Amino acid sequence: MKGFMFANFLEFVEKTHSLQLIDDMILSCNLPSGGVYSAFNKYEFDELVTMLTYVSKKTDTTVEVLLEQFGVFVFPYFIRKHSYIIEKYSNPLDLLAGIQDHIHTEVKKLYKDADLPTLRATNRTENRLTLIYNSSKGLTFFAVGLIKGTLHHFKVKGSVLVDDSFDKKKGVKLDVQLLS
Amino acid sequence: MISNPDEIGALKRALHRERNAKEIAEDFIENRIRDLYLDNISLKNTLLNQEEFQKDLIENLVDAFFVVDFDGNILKINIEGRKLIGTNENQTLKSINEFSKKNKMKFKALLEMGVSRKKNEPIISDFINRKRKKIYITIKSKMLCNTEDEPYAYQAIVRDVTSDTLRKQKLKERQKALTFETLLVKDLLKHTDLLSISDNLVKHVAEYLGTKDCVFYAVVNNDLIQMSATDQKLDYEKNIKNRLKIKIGAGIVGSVAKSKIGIITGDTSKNENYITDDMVRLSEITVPILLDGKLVGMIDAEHPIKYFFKKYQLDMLKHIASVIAIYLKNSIHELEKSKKKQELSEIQSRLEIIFSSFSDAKVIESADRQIEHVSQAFLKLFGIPQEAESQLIGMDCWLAAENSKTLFVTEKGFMKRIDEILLKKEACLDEVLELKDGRFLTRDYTPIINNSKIVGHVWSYKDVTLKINFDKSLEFQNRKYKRIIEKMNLGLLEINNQDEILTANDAFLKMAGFTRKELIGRKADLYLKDKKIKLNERLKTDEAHEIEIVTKKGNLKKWLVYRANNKNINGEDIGSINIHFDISEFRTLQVKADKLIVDLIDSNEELSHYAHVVSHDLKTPLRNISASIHWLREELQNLLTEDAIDYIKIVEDCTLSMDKLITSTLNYSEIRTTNTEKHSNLQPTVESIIQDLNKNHKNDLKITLVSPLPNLKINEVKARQIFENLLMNCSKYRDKKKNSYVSIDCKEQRDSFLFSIKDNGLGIDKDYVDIVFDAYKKLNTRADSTGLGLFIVKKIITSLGGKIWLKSKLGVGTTVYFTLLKQ
Repeated sequence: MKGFMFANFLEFVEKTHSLQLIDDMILSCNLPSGGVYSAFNKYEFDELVTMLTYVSKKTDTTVEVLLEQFGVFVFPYFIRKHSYIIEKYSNPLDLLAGIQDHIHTEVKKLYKDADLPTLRATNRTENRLTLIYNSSKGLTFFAVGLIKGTLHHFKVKGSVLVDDSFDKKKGVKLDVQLLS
Repeated sequence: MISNPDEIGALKRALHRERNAKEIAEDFIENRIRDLYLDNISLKNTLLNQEEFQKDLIENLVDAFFVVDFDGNILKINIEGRKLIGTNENQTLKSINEFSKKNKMKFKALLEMGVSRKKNEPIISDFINRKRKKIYITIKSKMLCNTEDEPYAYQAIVRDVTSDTLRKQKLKERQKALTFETLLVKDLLKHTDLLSISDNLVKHVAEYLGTKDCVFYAVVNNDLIQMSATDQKLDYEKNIKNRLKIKIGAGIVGSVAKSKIGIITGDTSKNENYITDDMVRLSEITVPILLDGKLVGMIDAEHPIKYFFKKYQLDMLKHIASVIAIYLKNSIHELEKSKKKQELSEIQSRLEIIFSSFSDAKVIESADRQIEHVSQAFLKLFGIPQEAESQLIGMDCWLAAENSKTLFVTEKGFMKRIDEILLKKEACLDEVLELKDGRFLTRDYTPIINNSKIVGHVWSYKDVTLKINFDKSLEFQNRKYKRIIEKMNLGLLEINNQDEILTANDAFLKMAGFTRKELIGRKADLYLKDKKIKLNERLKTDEAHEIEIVTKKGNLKKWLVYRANNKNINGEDIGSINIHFDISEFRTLQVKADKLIVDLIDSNEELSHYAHVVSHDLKTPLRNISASIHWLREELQNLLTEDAIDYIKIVEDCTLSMDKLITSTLNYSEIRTTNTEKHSNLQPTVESIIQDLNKNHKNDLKITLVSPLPNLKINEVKARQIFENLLMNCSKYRDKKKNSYVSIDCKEQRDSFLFSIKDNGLGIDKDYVDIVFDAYKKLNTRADSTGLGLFIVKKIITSLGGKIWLKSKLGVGTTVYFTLLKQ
C-alpha cells in the first residue's frame, strides 16, 4: 500500500485523537517501517491493519467505523492536490460513476504501481447509483467513507447502503441514494 | 510550547520520523531525477536515430517528397522529387518560384487542395516537367505545424503514375475501341447492307473519336455522296442538311478515296484541299472502306481542334473499315448464297411441279440407282397406286425393274437392255417396249451428268399404243387409198402454179398414152387439143368440165376433168390436182342409146298397134265361137247328155276367159301407149266403179269411201284400172261366210297421197305376199282371174312414181296400200 495512505492515517489519528496516541501506537506496535512513511513508497498493508486494531482498542471504536471515518477524512486530502481530475464533475453520482474509467486512470499516471480496487457503476438514475466494489484488501467501509466524503464535497445529502444480500463472490454492492 | 518530557519525546520521535520520511522522499526524487536524465539521453539518441531514419526514409522513398513553406521555399525535397521535376543532380532547387509559372500555380493549388480535403485521398494531376515530359502524378499533402501548433509548411508526397496512367489510358482506349467495335459488329450482324447501318456507324465512330462530326460517304457512280452524318449536320427530320457530293480526287476525302489510304490531317488550314462542309474544323481523319480493293465507302470525321486525332485512332478506323469490309463481303456472300438458294429452291419446286405434272412417266434415280422421284404419270402408267409413291422413293431401281419386268413381253430382254444402257452411260431415246397387255411404250434414258460424273439417271416412259395403232391404221388407210387410186380408172395429174406437171398416176399415163418421163416437168397443156388456152385458166375449180384432148397416138378423146385446188399446210395455193375420166366410150354409147330409143319408140308403137289389132282380131272369132256355142247349147239342150252340156259349159267358160285375157292384154298395151297424164278427179271415177260393182254384187259387198278422194294428175283410164282391179279383187276373194265390206281411205302426205283399200276377205298366205304383184302369178285357179291384175296395178303405180304394198292375214283380210305423187 502506498505510503501516502499510512501518512494520512497518522494524520487522521493525530487530528481525531492525539499525537500521543500515534507515539504510543508506533512504540507498541513494532512496525517494520518504524512508522516512517513516504508517500511514494510502498508499505505492507498489515501495518495499517495493526495500527487500526491498536486505535480501535485504545479508543473503543470498531474498525469499520474507524475506516469510514478515515474515508471521510481522507477525501478532501485526495482532491486537494488533484483538483484538476474532478473539477469537471458537477454531480456526485457522475463522479462516482467516473471513478473506474477516469479517476483511477489519472491515479495510475502518478502511481503507476498503485493497487486500486474496481468500482463498477450500474443502475444509474437521476438520484441513484449502484456500485459493485471489488478489492483485494476488503476496505469496504473505507470506500463508504470516501463516497460519503464525495456527497459532502458536493454538499448534498444522501445514503450509502451495503447490500448484504448481494453475492460476496461478485463483490460488494453499494447503493447510493441522493436525498433532496 | 513544551509541556513535559513525554511530550517532547513523542515530538522528537515524530520529528525524527518526518526527517527519515523526507530523506526517503529526497532519495526517491534524486533517483527519479537521475532516471529522468538517463531517460532523456536515451530519448535524444532515439530521436536522432529516428531523424536519420526519417531522412533515409524520405531519400529512399519511391515517392517524391516535398516540404514547402508558405513563401514557396522548398524546405525538403528528395531525389525522387528532383527527378520528377527533371532537375539535374548538381542543380539545387530552393523555391517553387523556379518552376514555370503554370506549374507553380498548379503545384500551389494542389497543395492547398490536399490540405483542405477532408479525406486523405490522393489528388490526380499532370504537368509537363523540365525535360518536357508529361508526368502524371498523384499528390497527398498536409500541413506541418511547429511546436506551438502553428502551421508553417506544406508536406507533400507525390507519386509518379505516368506509366501507370498511360497503361490505364491505353487499356481504356482499347476498351473503348473494343466497345466501339462490338457495337459496330452488332449492327453489322443485324443488317446486311452498309447503308442501313451507316447512321449508327457515324454515331459510333464519332463517339469513339470523341468528336461530334462524322460522315459516311457511299460511292455512287464514281462520286462520293454523303449518306449518313452525325446530328450536327441533320435537320429536324434527320436528313442531311447539305448533302455534299464529292468527286473522287477532290478535297481531302476525294484524294483519300483515290489513294485508298486512310490519313489524319492535323491542320486543315494548312491543307489547300480541304472542303468546308457546315463549318471549318481543323482536324480531319479520313479512312476508305475497301471491298476486295474496290472503294465502297468513306468514313470521315473532323474536330475543331488542331492535331486532335491520334494515330491509334486512325489504326482503329482502318481496322473498323476492314471489319466492315469483311462483313460486307460476308453479307454479300450470304445474300448471294441465300439468293442462289432461293433460286435453287424455286427452280426445284418449279421442276418438281413440271416433273410431277409431266404427261411423260419419269423416274429419277440417284447415281447409286435409288429412286429419287417418280412422276404422277409414271404411277398411272404402271398402275401403281398413289399411296405407294412414298414406298417407291429410295427403293433400289434394279429391284423395282426386277419386280416390274413381268409386265413386258420380253422379260429378260428388258432387264438386259437396262444393264446395257447403264453401261453405255449415254442418252438412249425412243426405244419401243411392248407390254403384255398390248400397250406399247417408248423409253428414253438420260444420264444426269455433273462435272463429267454421273449423278443420276432419268428414265422416261411414254405410252405410244395409240400412236402406234394410229400409225398402223394410217398406213393401212394410206395403202387402201393408194390401191383405190391405182385401181380406179381416173387419171390424176398434179400441177403447180406454173402449170407444170408434178405427178401423174398410172391411169393418166394409160389414158394419155405418154410415159411419166415425158410428162413430169412439162407444161400441162400439151395434152389439150387447143394448146393456146392454159388448162388452169380454162377450168373452174370444183366443177367438172368436158375437154377434148389428143393422145400421144393422135386419137381424139373426150375427158371429164375435175380440178381441185391443191393447198399446202399453210393453206396457200400451190397448184391443182386434176382428175380425168375418159368418157369417149360413154359418149359413143350414149349416141347409140339415143338411136336405140328412137328405134324402140317406133317398134313399140308398132307393137302396140299390133297388139291392138291382134286383140281385136282375136276377139271377133272368139265372139263368133261364143255365140255359136251359145246357140248350139240352146238348140241341143234337150238332146245333149248332161256330160255334153258340161263340156259345152267348159267351152263357154274358156271362151269367156279367153275374151278377158285378150281384153287385159289390150288394156296393158293401152297403158304402155298412153303416156299423157291429165288432171282428173278420183272421187267420181271411184264412185262409178263402186256403182258398177254394186250392180252385180249388190248384197254381197259393202264398199265405203272413208274420206273424199283428191284431184290428181293421172290418166283417168289408169286410175280406173287401179281401183277397178283392186276392188274387183276384194269382191272376188271375199269371205262369203262374212258380211264383206271394203273401205277406201286416202291420207295426204308431204308430196303424195297414201291410199288404202281394206277388206275382210280371205286374206293371203304370208308365203305368197311377196309374189302377188308378179305377172301371171295366180294364187288360185279361178277362171275369172288372169293373173295380170295386180301386176298391171303395180306397173301403173310405179310408172307414176308411186309405191304399192300390202298387209294381209289369212282368214282376216287384206289391206292394200299405195301412193300416188301429187304432181
